[in-house]
Amino acid sequence: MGADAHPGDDALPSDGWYAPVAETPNKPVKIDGAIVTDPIKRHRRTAAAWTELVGARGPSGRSARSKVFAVGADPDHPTDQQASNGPQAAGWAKARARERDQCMKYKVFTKIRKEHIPEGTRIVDAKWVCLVKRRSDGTIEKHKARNVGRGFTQEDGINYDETYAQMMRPETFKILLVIAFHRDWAIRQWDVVVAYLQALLKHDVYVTDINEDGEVEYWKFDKALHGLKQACHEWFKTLCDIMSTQVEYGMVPTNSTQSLSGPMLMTSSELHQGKRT
Amino acid sequence: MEEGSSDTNPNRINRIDGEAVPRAESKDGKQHLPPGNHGRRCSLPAGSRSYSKEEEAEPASANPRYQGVVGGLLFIARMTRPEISVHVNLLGRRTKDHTTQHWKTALQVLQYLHSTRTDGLRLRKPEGTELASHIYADASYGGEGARSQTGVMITLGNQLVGWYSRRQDVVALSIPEAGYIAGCEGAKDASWPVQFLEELGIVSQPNLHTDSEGAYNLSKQPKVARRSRHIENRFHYLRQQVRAEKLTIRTIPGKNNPVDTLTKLLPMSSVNGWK
Repeated sequence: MGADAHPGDDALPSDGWYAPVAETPNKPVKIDGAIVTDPIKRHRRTAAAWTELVGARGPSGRSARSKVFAVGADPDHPTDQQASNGPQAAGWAKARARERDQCMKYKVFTKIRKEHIPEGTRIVDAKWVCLVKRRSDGTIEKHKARNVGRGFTQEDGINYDETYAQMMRPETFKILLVIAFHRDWAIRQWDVVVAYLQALLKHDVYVTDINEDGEVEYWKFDKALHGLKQACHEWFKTLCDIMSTQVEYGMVPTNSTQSLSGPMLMTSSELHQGKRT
Repeated sequence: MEEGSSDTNPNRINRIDGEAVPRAESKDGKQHLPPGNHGRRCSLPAGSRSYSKEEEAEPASANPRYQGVVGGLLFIARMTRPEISVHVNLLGRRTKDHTTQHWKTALQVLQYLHSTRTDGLRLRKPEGTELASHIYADASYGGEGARSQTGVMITLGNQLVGWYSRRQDVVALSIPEAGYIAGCEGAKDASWPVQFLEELGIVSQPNLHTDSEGAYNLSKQPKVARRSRHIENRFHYLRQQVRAEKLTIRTIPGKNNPVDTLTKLLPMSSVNGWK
């Protein structure tokens, strides 16, 4: 039972979304010595293009391409190619433009020429991840496209070191809720939009991808990109910094649980005085 | 308690194998739940403490989605559904070598969650001016590998804020010892929220409730008795906490201990009583 129930194993219907794109014919593809018969290609680059881009490949790069991704089998989670060639291409183009605007707004990266990248630097690869967001009744709310760094192409000590990021314990959250109920406080919550794009990076991270015109581009990232190994960590540090240094917040992390994260990250001095309204 | 539950509810076990269980081999990998099941409340598997008894006759067969399903259940159990904690803990031990029976049980838990998906953990406004914290600890003696199951619930102002169900990491030789170990776990769990609350300027002395008379006595009397002399020193943390008056220990009747639902696979009637 079950052994034959892998989601990707069934033959995919040939209509609409599932159709293999033109330049990836449905034939066995050889990737890193393993014959892959899946009709959907994992990544748009050929092995040769990859070698040219990234240079000498580390072990992480190799395993990355032989790994089987479920992306592409789900119409709401198409591969980059399926998105640009499928019936909803216009929606995806818009989504990508929106993401690029966000990057511009927060000055996430600067375009750089390849010659200016120091010799021997590991260049991180990037790709687009596309997701259809649906409302609970199944209608499409929006197309979401996100430019992500492929963190597994990063090298420890060069592109990142610390990756630990705090998570809030569920108990902490519930304790704070009970306190708030007990003292009749109103509860506020925040969501930081594109948080990672505002996290300052400690390391120099160079990213490469193919732009909309099909040209290879190189960027130097000043702020975190989704998918980078240190993105969570750097965002946590940035947020700590903002909340503890800016006078209007003036918060300090508690000793017993620094693991409060997100909006509940710190308990403010206001909490002591019960001033929250 | 354990025996009684399996005797009075034979149907519960049968339904694991019966028609009510959805087939696992769904084509698109999404249909966990049978159609037409909506609106009917399903029950959690009950009766047996571990699932090992029923599984012996079944051939081992690993389902590649098992680990993912259990992972999802773990999250749900930790966040809002204490009543499935013990089931998930039992299922979670077998991610590497689960059988068809485990997979079916996991699906039954999913089915239960689906049929009760509007249920959740409700936190109300605590009454009174003080925020008292109570820890409920209990253990069911023996079990898989002779190790007992600890269940702990933490409440603040009578609102449930934390819980877990976990197998003890040593073999307890007697029921009081299992209860004592559970009490020690409870004491450890009490210390963190208390420190946290202190930092927020709220003083709260925790009360530890156990239904084990033996555990209570062990924590009160410093004597080394024939039947308790082997208990590892680290578990006397409980005794030390009680002596230092960091913690008040009390006994309550077993049927009043809500943690029962975290140590045994109780029938739904008992589980629902605590909701």
